Amino acid sequence: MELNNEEIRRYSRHLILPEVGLAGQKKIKATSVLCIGAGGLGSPIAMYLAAAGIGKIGIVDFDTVDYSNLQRQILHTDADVGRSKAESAKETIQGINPHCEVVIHNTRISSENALDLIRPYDIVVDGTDNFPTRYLTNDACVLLKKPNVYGSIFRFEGQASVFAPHLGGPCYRCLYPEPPPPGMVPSCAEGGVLGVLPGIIGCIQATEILKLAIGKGHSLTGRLVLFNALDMKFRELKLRRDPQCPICGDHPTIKELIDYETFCGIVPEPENTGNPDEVTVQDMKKALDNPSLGIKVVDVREADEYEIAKVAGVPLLPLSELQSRFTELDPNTQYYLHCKAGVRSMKALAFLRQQGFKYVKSVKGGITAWSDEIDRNVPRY
Amino acid sequence: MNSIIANGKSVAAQLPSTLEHFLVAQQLLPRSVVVEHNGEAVAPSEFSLRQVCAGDRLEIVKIVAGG
Repeated sequence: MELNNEEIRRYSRHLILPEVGLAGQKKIKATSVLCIGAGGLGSPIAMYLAAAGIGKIGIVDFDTVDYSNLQRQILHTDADVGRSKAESAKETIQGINPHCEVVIHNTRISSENALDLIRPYDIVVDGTDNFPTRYLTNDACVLLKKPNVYGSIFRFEGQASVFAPHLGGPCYRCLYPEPPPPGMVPSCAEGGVLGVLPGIIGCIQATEILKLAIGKGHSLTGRLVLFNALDMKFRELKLRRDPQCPICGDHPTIKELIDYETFCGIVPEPENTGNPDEVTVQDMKKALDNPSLGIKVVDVREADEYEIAKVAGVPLLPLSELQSRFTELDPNTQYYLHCKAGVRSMKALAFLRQQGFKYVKSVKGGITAWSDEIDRNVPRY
Repeated sequence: MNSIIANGKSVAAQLPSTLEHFLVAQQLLPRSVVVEHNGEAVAPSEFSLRQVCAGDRLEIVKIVAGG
């Protein structure tokens, strides 16, 4: 692995660092990294790794660029909206450093393809946005003995670590043996995230990858770094490998990849047979257009969201206030509850059922589906 | 009732108890949090054996998935 004159000039600020030097830069060039997710975390990770001279970067992402990504996913630009994220990422990375080989995997990582996707790479970086993919990434990395550079974000807080049981540290399951029940922990789409936050956590991940590549410094193995942007504070927790961990413990029970959707409690909806507790946005429109049906529609989102986008004629009763205000509703009236995407309205439905409300339905897809299917003038957020 | 220091704040709890009971009483999911007890890492399989006492310090981190 040699560097040409142009590369020597490009990496000069690395080359004069005693901890990197020519030997370290060659190691960086010889390193391949698989970036799972080209979103908030994947953006700074891929861009800095490319700039730093990582020789090969694989990008796994099946999604397309949406306007709501642009506040934080700096791999993609306004002109990329609608394009494949993997292709957009490749273009950006090669614009930063044409010496970096970019391999795009325009597919959803799954139990069927994860081992084949990961096997050719030296290091894996987890920039995913959901629990099934995080457990899948962890298990595949443990089975293949690949370091898994972890980062995760929500609202104003983030966490990062390096999982490498084969190097003596814990894995993701040693920290979190089981995922929370579906809907219990909101996603960034539901709870929001400060745009710059993945920049900070992603840069921590990219730093750890470069340290692994050159074999210098103290890795985050066995430590969890926590960052709070509102307080502008970092904390650190010590971690340990759990001898009873089902995949990296002393007597592992998981020896091959499993069905991670089922593990995380996500039950696929049978096609054409919807959930009996749900109605569609078309049903909601009928209810609003025909008051004689006696169906009332209630928005259970929070007041800030109501200010951003609302459906005319639909009153607000936030889920956070439902416990103290449900007596404002009549238990014998039929209600359609909607939120942003249909998760919180199901929670509101469950609560009202417990209070004796018999005729409550949740609007599938919430105001997002309303915007897509009924009225595009209602902004999506 | 006594109190322990969780994430730098005093929290009232029935003590002593196991770490597992303390987490459940705080409405936390013991399988979805990382805990450091008096500066020491605790594996989840130890939560039901580990005793927490008045004045102990806990650092508790909840699982998040965003990326």
